[in-house]
Amino acid sequence: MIRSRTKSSLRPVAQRGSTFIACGLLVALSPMRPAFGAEEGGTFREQVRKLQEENSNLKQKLDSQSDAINGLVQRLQALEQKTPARIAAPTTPVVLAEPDVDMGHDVGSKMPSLSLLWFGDVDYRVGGKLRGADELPSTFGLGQLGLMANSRLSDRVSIMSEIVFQYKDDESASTTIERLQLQYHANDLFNFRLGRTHTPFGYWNETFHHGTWFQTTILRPELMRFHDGGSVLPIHSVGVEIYGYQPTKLVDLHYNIGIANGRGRAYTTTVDIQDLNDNKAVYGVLDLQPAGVPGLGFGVNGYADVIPPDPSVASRNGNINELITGAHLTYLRDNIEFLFEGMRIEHDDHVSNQRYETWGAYAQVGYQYHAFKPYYRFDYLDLGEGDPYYGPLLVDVRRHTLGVRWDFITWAALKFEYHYIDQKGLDNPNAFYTQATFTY
Amino acid sequence: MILSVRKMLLGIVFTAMVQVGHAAEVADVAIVVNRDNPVDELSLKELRSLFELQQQFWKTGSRNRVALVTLKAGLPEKELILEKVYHRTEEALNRDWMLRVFKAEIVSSPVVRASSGEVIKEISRLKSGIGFIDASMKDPSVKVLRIDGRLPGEPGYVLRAGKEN
Repeated sequence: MIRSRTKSSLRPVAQRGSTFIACGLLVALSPMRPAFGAEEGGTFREQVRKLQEENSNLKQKLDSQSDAINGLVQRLQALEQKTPARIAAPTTPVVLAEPDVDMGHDVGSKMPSLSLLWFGDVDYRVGGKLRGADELPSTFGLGQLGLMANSRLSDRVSIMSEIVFQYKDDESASTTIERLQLQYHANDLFNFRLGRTHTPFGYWNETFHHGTWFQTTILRPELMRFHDGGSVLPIHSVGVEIYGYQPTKLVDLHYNIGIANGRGRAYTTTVDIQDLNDNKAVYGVLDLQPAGVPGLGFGVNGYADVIPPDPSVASRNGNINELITGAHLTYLRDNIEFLFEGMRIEHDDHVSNQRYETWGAYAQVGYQYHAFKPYYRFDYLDLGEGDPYYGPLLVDVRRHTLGVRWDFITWAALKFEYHYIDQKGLDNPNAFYTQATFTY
Repeated sequence: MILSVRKMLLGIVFTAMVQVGHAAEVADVAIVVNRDNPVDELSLKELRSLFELQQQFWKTGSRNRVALVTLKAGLPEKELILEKVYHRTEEALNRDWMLRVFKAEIVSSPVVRASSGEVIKEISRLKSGIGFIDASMKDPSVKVLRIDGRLPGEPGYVLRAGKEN
């Protein structure tokens, strides 16, 4: 609109141009005029000379005006670029740290691009933890330092790795490859992933892991806690997965199915190098997001494996058939976070011919209010009594967590939590945790 | 005479600037793709899926991978898209991009440009590109998509800030 008006302002200048043309014609036609007397001829020549001078002056003025108008037009166009028409500029623009990274669509002849992200946390804890039968004193603690690297090798092939550096409970340092996966993206519905992955159980295990900055709470749910390097669930898998996304008018569907090395002899190990039997673990998760309720997601998951014997334990000299089934319900929208997951872990022991059932669940709710997010979670873990696979280190737990997360800047947060823990052997049910967590 | 021409031009400039200010209440944001993209129309749901990079491949043509071009934080066009499409704040969106990278669902966050003009340049270059611009900046070098059957400026267009006249 602005541009068209500016063009219209040029019209008066153009009209004046016709005056100059008329003057030019007058000069050009002058030799064709009939002969006059000498005096009359001199006057006429004087008039022509004056007209030529005036014409020359006007031409100069016209040029300078044209330059000025062009300058104004350029400034107007610059103004249009700076302040998009029809939209008001914000009074205080907020520019967040936003990576200006090309998505790598023209990677053909270039070196692969690499993006690196570090995650870390430092903690302080009072109560809530046992070593053997003893409650541990309050302590500062260095959390995990995770390095995640991502690279797109082509339009359809990408690599992702995650390495975690940490100190274990016995103060020894460890470095582990938590994830290393080669991905091929055929289309939205079919993608392939090969390597060490987070086993897709419902929501949490795939969404959060070693980057505590992502998760609202300090601790993972009891169901997915790291216990001496292991968990009630097989949280990592080494194998191949197919996953994808299919939107429909009513519901968006996400799926992930995989085949991988099964569990190790003990629940604390992941089989990375050599599986212990020919039975591979198979698993899958289905997540549905109804179009009518944006933010809502729900789904089911399953995992089946044959756990090999452990010759070092007398009661473990036979296979255990493992079947894990679960369901999840999430709502994430408009500052509300609601998460629920429940799992049933069934172990059929070939030695005792007994079936052991472990049940675990958590429900978490949080509300983001500016930089603060108060939250509550209830954890429930009920282990199959006498399950030979888990052994005596894992115990039943019911844990209430009440906390607040403060994102004092975009990429760092402080978390403060009170825990009420109902756990065998823990005399004082109260515990207090704080965590500083960040990414860079 | 020169003085009067200058006055007239200044008058036009001021009038245009005042109109820019008044028109802020009827902002439309246009969704643009490369001119070679065969897609002419999207539903708001499809747009959301593309903008969240849930859908990462175009379903037509060469089935190229979607290249999302977004605008930097704080611009009115970005604020409108955050409200109408993403339903979250800029900070929450940045965190989500980071989470998607962490989950290996995407390799990096979208390309960020500083102005609608720069988005137009980028989309005209990227055959699989999609982005959003101030609708009054639309340019023949990119294609403006219908959203839920309507173009910017038409009654009932969904990506509109403020009240319609």
